[in-house]
Amino acid sequence: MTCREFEQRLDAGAPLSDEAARHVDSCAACRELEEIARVSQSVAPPTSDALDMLDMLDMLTRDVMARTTGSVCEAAGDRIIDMVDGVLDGFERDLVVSHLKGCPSCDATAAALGWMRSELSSMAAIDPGEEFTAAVLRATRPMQAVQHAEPHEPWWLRLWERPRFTWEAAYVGAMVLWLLFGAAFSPFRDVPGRALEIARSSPVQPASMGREIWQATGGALMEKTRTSTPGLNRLKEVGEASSSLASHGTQALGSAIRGDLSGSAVRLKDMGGDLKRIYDGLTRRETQPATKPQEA
Amino acid sequence: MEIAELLQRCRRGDQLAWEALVRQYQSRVYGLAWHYMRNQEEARDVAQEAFVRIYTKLSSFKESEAFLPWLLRLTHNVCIDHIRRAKARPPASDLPVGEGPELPDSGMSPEGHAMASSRQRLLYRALDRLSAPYREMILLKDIQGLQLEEIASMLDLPLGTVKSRSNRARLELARAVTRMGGAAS
Repeated sequence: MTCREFEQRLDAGAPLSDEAARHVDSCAACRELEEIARVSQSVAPPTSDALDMLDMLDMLTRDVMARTTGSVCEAAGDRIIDMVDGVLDGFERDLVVSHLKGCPSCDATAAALGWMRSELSSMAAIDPGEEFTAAVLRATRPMQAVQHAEPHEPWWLRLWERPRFTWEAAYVGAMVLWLLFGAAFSPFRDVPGRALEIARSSPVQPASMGREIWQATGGALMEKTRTSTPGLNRLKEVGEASSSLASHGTQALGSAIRGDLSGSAVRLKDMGGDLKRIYDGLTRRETQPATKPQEA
Repeated sequence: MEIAELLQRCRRGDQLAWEALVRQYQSRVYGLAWHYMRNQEEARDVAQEAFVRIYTKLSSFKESEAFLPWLLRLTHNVCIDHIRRAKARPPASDLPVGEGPELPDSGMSPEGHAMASSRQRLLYRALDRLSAPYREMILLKDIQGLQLEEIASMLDLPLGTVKSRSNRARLELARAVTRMGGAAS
């Protein structure tokens, strides 16, 4: 046996074999080493003083830690939590268990962390008593008249299902008729009067009277529509230019945010063109076509 | 009872569905309010106000998100609003802690029932000794069971801060419990 083999056996705590004993007899260095190992083992005797000895060793560990890296209790906190949560395994877990064995304070903390989990989660709900529900319902009852909008139902269906819909539709229809034929600014204001006049003046011949009314009022309608067309076209142009202005504004802003300044400049130029179209549309005066004499 | 169906009916104005929803979640809402207020009457008022706010905001709840965190977030906001409004007087959580637990006595039946076990009494006493941010963290994560991401969003804090604060709060609470009465087995 070589000295190295003897040291390995000693390190493994293996009993002294005959071969090892012969080596010890022949090697002074290994004999000395074997003597030291025997003495160190006898420091912790299996007697009634063992508990005191363990305390003393714990104290020694704490003293060494205090003079080297400092207390590990603070550093162990997170890993103790991970162990309690069951997310620590393998070597890390062994380290924590080893610390807990020598640190009663952290051991008690770990135990408390363990039972706290279930206790804390059971503290989430507290019954407020039966009268609480009634109080909440009383408080929200006035608001229940205003029903919450159904997010997936189309708006026109909700409008259609409203009980007041027929009355509202009739009201809107009457307003449209008044705006077309009754308002002072309406181009068709004289159409009903003409129709009534023709009906009164003509003899009772329903077929020819209908034709005459159509020739008079329908012709008037066609003429009014024709003379109004340039104005309507102008409004349409203004509307299109406004829409284009908004679109170009959004694009200019988007380009500026992206840092594309040249793109933003192009859009700003487009916006200038839109503004000009709006201005032209609002200020242009149409030349009214010569009105043909109307037949009564 | 399926929560999606319940919510849909509530949005249509079904009063029975709304009552069922209130009954299903009132203990959680009241529990959260009680932990903030530490006063039966105030907690009841705040919980009621929270339900009124929940009712008015039901249409804004997105079905893709979880209902309980949304509900607790609204309740939390109502509690914070209430505490801010009542700033003239010190909030219950800042009152000095006496020898006995700062809990309603046996005459206050709902809370007394909830805190029957000695461990819970010990926990309530230990909670009173924690700082307000730690207590809030225990309340939201360990008591109400919210996820760290939800708490970060609710308190407008970085996720890392919430995680480290949560761990520290648990450790502090465990150490306080150990100091005050051991494991209370």
